[in-house]
Amino acid sequence: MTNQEKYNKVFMEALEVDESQLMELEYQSVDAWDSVGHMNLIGELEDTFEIEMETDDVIAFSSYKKGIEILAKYNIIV
Amino acid sequence: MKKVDEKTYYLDQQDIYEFLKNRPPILMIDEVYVQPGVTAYTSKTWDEGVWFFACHFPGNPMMPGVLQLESLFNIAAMPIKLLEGNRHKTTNVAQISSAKFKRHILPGEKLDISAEIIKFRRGLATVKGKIMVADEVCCEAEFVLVVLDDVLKVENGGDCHADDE
Repeated sequence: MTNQEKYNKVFMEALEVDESQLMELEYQSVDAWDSVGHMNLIGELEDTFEIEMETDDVIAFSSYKKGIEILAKYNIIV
Repeated sequence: MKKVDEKTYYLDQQDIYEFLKNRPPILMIDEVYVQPGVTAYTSKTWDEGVWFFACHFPGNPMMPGVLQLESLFNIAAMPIKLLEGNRHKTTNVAQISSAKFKRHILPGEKLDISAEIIKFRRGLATVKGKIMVADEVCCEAEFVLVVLDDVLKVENGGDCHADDE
């Protein structure tokens, strides 16, 4: 499975969305991406890519697209 | 709080007050054995004179399911609260994934109440809880507790904090 596939899978499972919604997905744009959903999403990404994000990155992780930029800081290229 | 063995602590009600903000009648435990980050166990017997049996139901007393769940929430918070740095943080229930009530709980029955932390990260604890009378399961539930202080604000995303209970 590619990093892109892994990244998408985490979003689709954690936020209960389908692939067509991913590109426009932002914090609070769907019910499941609330404060608790956010921490769950971050935890799932950390497990999947075996990283631990800095607090500033957890806070800045405000959209599907922004998350791709943030993961690149941890040498995860999506 | 006493250390019972290498991994386990015993807390009486005064000790529990140091960790939980719940107070009677919405504190459903008197004492608890806790392995920090892992499990908690207690037993409890409710006499017929307790407030909820009088109204649930007159002439047919049984413990309300919502209070069974509250019992599980109470003990489930303890393994999280006993982790270093968490004592004064607030835990709330964020999600109940499943709850099954398999047997009525009647006055005078001794309840064995346990909670197991399945996963704890980023302030979210996934918990399995169970209440038994002797060898019979009365209630089983899986739920998520959130440590509110560990839920962060998201940049440009507005208020990211869960509501207080």
